[in-house]
Amino acid sequence: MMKPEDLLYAVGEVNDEAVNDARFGEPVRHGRGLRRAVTIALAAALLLAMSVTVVAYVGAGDWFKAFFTHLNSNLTQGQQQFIDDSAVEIGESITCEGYTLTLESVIMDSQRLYAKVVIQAPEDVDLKTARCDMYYALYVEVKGEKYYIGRGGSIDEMYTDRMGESNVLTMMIEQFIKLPEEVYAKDPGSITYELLVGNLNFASILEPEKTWTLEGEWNFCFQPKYIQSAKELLDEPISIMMGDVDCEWNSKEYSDPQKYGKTWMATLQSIQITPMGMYAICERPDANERGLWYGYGNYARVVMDDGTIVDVRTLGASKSSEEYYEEWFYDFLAPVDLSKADYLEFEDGTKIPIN
Amino acid sequence: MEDRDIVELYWQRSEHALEETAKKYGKYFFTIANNILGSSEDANEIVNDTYLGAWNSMPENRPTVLSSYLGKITRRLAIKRLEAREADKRGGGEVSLVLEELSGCISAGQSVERELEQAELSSAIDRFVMSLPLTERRVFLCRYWYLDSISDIVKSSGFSQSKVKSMLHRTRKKLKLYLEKEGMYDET
Repeated sequence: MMKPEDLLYAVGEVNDEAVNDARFGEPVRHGRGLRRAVTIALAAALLLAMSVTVVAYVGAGDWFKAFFTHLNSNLTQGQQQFIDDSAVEIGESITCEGYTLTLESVIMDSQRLYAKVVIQAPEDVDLKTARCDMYYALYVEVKGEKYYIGRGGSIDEMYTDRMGESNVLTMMIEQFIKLPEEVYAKDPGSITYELLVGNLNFASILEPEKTWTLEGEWNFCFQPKYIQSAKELLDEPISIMMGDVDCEWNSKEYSDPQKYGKTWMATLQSIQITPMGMYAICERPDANERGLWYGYGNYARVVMDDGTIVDVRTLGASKSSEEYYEEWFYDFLAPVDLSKADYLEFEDGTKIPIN
Repeated sequence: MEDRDIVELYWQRSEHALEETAKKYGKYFFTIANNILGSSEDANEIVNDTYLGAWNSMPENRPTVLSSYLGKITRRLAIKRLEAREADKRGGGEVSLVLEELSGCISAGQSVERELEQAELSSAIDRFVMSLPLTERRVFLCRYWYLDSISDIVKSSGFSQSKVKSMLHRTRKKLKLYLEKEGMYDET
């Protein structure tokens, strides 16, 4: 059985260049000065805000505000307003195998879904000292037809609250959404979302060998309050220089260290942005030879009209259904008010106006 | 002095190599060892052992990134020292000695298998780390290679504490999924 010590040793053997870079590498352009200044100036207020939101989940939006504060340390008034306007209280509970799951609330736009799920175990089960990995799938139904959107796993560490009863655990689910074209063609206003939780894997923190799995069906249907559609940023394709890492996650054949540090020109055909995320289509001659899903290195950010910055986080890339194309997925560390966003900036300095 | 010149001194078996290494990287080794051991005295001993390790490993090797090459020696030595220290705490000073003595009784097959597994894991972790975006990779390595404290990473990166923690959470989550995909995650 693998032990944490094995991982510690294994990390010790990573590429020399990367180890050197982590200590002596050139700083990455992050607009850190501004972010740092903002962070320091607001630190006390934010700490206070965090502690208030963490202990008082009264409105549908408060949980999500606490979540984004956890990610980003800073939420503007506009971002808080967006969360309040978009979060929907659901409150549907389903019991299966003695475990009651409640889909309390969701916040979503046309590309991202975050959902707050409360797990209530039987009274004699201690969830305060347990980790939970939750596996789920997302579907949409429109005009009597059902479409599969994607599946995912929400890992305990992402965002979890253990402040309630000892048998209660609250977790965040997140899912990237890419609706099929025919859904838009039908009637996007009548879409019903279906979240199917199928597996809960628990492990005791105190006794790691103690694990238990529940296989059930907790099937929730909900409709969002209002979904802001994605905004296309490109009138024509653009080329950007991609970051210094370009290697596949799931290729067992990957073994060429010379690839480390290489850069390449990517031709982006489309960038669709929403308040909580971004989706891009990239033309790539070798897309078909690459893995289905892999991480890649590039950095981007959204610069607002007032100069503040929202970091963009890469979720990964996957091969498109079209040959020679791949899809890139991103989310934002805080919601973006698109009407007040100035431009999107990639790591090579390419700026793309948002308005 | 440039790294390649220092390496050349090792290859010439010149003791100046040690002086130049200490001058250029002494503090770096000390930080690595001290992060792991939390003891200046122990860290200084490990730094001295690092110089010995460097002297013994060259000219057999010609490292291209001297800092990391020697830093790895420091890290391995410090973790071994830490393990020995923990073992002492658990069962008295003899336990580590007895374990060391008994390690020679493990069959060669088991040992080779174990080494292969560890090598496979190291290779997988290397691929994973290199697939991370630059910033995440740096933060991950600061924490899990250099064993820097969160507050040290906050200082060096300029990120907020919650962002650093969140980034590390994310990266561990990715690592878990990656190890699952690679068939290296043992559910039991």
